[in-house]
Amino acid sequence: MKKEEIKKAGIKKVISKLGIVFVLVGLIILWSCLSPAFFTVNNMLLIVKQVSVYSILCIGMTIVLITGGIDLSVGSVVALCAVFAAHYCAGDYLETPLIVPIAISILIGIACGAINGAGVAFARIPPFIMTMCMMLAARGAAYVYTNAKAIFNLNERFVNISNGFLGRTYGADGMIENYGIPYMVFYFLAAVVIGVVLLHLTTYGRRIYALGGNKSAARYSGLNTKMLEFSAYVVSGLCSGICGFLMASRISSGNANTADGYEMTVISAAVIGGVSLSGGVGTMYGSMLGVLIVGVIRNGMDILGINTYFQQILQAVIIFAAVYIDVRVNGKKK
Amino acid sequence: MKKKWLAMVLVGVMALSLCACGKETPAAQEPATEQPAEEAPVEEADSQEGETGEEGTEESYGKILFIQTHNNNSFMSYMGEMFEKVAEENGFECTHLTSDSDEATQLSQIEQGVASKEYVGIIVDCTGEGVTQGFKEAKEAGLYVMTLHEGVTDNTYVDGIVACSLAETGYQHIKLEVDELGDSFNLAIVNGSEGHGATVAIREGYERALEEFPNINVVFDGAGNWNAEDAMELTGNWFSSGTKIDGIVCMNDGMATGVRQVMKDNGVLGTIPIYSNDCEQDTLKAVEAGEQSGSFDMNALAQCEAAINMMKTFVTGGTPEETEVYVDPLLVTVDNLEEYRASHGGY
Amino acid sequence: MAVPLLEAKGLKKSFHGVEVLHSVDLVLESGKAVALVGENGAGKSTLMKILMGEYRPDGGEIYLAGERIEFQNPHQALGHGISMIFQEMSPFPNLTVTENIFVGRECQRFGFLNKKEQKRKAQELLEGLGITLDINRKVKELTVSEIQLLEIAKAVSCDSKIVIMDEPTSALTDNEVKILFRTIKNLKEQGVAIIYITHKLDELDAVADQVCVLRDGGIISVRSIEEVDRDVMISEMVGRKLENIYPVVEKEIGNTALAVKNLSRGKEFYDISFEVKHGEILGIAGMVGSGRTEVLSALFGVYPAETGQIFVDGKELKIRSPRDAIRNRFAFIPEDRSRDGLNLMGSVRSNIGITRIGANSRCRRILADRRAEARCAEEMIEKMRIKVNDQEQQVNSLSGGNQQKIVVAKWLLTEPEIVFLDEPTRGIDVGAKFEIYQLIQNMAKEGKAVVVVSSELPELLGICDRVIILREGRIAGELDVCEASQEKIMSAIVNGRPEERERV
Repeated sequence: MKKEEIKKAGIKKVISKLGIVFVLVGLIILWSCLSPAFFTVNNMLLIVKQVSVYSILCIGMTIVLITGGIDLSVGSVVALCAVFAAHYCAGDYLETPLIVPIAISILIGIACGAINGAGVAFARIPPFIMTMCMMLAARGAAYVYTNAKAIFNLNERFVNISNGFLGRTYGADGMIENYGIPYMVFYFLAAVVIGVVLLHLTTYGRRIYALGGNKSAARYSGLNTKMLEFSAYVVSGLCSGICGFLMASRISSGNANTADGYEMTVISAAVIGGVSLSGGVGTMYGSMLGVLIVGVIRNGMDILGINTYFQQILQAVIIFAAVYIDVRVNGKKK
Repeated sequence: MKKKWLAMVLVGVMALSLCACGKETPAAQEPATEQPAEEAPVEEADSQEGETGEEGTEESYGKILFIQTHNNNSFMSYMGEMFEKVAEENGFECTHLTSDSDEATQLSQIEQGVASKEYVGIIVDCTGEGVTQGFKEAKEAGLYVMTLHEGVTDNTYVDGIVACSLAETGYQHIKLEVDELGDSFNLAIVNGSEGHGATVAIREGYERALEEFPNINVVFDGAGNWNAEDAMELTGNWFSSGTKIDGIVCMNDGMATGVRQVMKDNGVLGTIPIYSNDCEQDTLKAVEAGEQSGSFDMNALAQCEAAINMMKTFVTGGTPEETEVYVDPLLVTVDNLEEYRASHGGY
Repeated sequence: MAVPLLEAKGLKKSFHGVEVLHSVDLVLESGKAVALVGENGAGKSTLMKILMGEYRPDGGEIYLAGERIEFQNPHQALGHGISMIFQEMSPFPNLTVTENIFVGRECQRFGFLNKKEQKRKAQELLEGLGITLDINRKVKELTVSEIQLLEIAKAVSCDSKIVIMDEPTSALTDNEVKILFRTIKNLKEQGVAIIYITHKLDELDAVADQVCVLRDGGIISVRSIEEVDRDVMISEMVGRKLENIYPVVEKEIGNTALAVKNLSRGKEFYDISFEVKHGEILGIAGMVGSGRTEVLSALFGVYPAETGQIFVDGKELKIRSPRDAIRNRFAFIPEDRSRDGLNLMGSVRSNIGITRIGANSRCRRILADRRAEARCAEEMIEKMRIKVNDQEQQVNSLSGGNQQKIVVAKWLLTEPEIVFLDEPTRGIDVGAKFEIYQLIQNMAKEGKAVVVVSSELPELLGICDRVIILREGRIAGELDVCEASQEKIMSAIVNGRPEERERV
């Protein structure tokens, strides 16, 4: 009898963990019913392509959120990295090896993350304030650096990083014959794998959960809580750095107003995926599903020709529902 | 667990009801929405469900996708409405999207349009250079690509361009001030957001005019970010500095509204000539009251007509005489206000 | 007999298909106190939560003064004069004592807060109960015991007819306990009925009129206090006979393991010196705030000492962080396990494994080895008889005793040589206490040096070899356990010297 119960409890747990999958599947079914253009291979690939930048940012954000912090600066840091990346592969630097803009973008991202981390972990500035400062500073720096003008005419190969396709073929008339798979899809898959491994399979992930669950207990248990907290922001900065050059490549220009408001999109994706803003709770799988849900909502509504502003309302409804369900289900266990 | 399912169903229902709310814009295909919404200018629901059932006197040229950078001011929403109307009158089915002023969003929307394989052409009011990649994609998928209102610098993948010359409006702003004040006076310039395409374009016109009239003294020059609040703060500071301002040019009406408020606070409303763009209702009222000298209309209707005509030429296999059409801006002052209002009924 | 104040008949409650209460009857008369004893997990909390309207029973009825009642929420219970003082109290730290008492039902005049009236009432209330508390102090400045008294005053101010107290003395010193008992007596005289949940059997005589033993969700016995036989009661509680709750273990005391010299930090403690030998259990007695917890946290590097030396096996060490301490094979079971000991949202496995994250790994400590973690957890669960459904269970859902075992388990895994335990048995039941004592003794037997801080003097006398007494941040005395008695220790705690007043 006891075994049965344990089994039952296990199933319940699985269902409560998979709830988010049902939301995703439900949305896909809903959109498929409403538009025949939705459920096609190309469109599915497109959704993945569109969310891949979010998914990379969401790795860092999930880790920061699990430590009990928040990183509001991701969008701005992406913009800063993007304009630097664009600068080093356009104009005088047009022929510079691609590694240069990529490395610069990543380094700037890491530097911004390190400043955030130092502020939060060592100077004990509340994460909200610290990263908000960085949000303002990085965006401002991006405007200053570009003189508020977009940098374009980037190196073709650089632009191809985000906009290229694997296995695309053209007919004799120059028209697309075979759609191919966007490179961005692979970046998404890589992000999911790396994110899941980092958070769920490494000792680092274990420490992050311990830190977020109870900082004091983690310290008593001998974890270097300050370094850990610092590292979480560095990881987030790294993710922003990667997204910086990907964004520059994707929009084939460096523009200081790029990625405006992305931090909120990413935070909401993580929250939809079950990450708690008070730390210690959440999974990378969940966050990635959250990212997909955001992508599916946007894509589906665009296909139906529904205004962006309605999309925001629906996103609000879904976040509300996700958190409400979470509170009801997990709140009861106590 | 039951509650959880219930909540999920609820989300679905909410989503559905939102779609129903969104009926004003085209789309809803669900059976529940049978009565057509009166106010919707284009009854997309009908045209999607029963193309055969249409009056069908005109032949259909297929479906086009129109993407606007945003539609949160009356000019942009008027343009959206006009576009849908003109497109329908000319036998196009049209999906109309807005991209929230975000380049990446607009890019995604273009890609979605291409991937759905439903469209013969796309017409984009561009948010920034980034959409070029989307144009490439569309071109390679065999769609006709046009820009409307706002274009891009790299037109490799663009078949046709229709715009109203913003640079011209900029030049005219200052030219009109000169007509009124002579060629030596103190000028204040309220720009749009730094780096924005329209800002750059209008700026070009300002620079041209300032070169032509070198005696004009530009006393202030700042960014009002297209909105009244920022413009108010900016010009409020200018006025409180005590420097004499003889004339003001302003890149859009939204900012002009803020500027006029500041002028009112400083007791100079109606005494300083001010020109701007867009012809929003608010500004037209100010023009009528003598508080603003004039405003330029980007001639949305003419732009839409030109764009649809060009698209029609492309779709029917023809070659347009001009692939770059610049529609003249329309100056509205107190003299032609009534006329303008009559032709732009209600707006 | 008149109609009892409260009567519960056949209360039943199940969670997830497991019945935790089967057919419990309870009778309460005004002016009387019923003590509810039983191991953690016996169903006491569930029973109380039903009375408070937090849970709804699956079966059975509750009568209040003969009238059938069904509470939908705690607010209704409060409205009917039933209030509860929780184990973990939830006052508003930034409000004053007065404001806390009247929170939610402030005195009003013309719609405005009437502070004066409120203060007057608060003062009256506290005086009536014989509690000395400054009504203008902020609650965050109060000690645990003062907060407890405040909560009692709050309950009384609601005109409660029934007050439920869940282990009210667990954080109190003896003196404070006396104040509490006096207050309880006052309440009884005013006709208030009291349900008193406790693990401390010594308290029963002073408080209870009746003792009710609960085990495995059922009432085992109800006796009036005169008829209670302690040994019988204990065996009823645990369902087995406990020969001696302080286990005796043969062990050898070796060389000095830890020597502390002239340790000081700010105003918290000065000039602390002591030694602990391998295999020895050293007790530290003292009131809350005497510096006992602070000394341990300094030794463990949580808040390092400012001056002084620490020697382990004769070698001087610098300990600046818990990491340094752990590297030198120290372990520390903190006083407040939910604050410093456990990740309550985490699983049993992750909590036990926290000290071994680096060790339970593969590929140069990069990848976590889940199997090794599970093995560790399984081993400790079995070895320490931790009652869990599975390793993935949230620690939150375990009883206090099992939670404490998890804290101990995670430290045993580090194979420490020097173990500090701060209030190791706070808020856990008799059975679990016995097991914790056993564990402590076993550690000593294995040659570890053990330091135990406790407010419970019998506990110190029962398990320690030697006791040092702290008073106002200084060592006030040291006693060998053979010569120590509760009175001697108490005298040192209160007066600063053990010798002065040996017998009261």
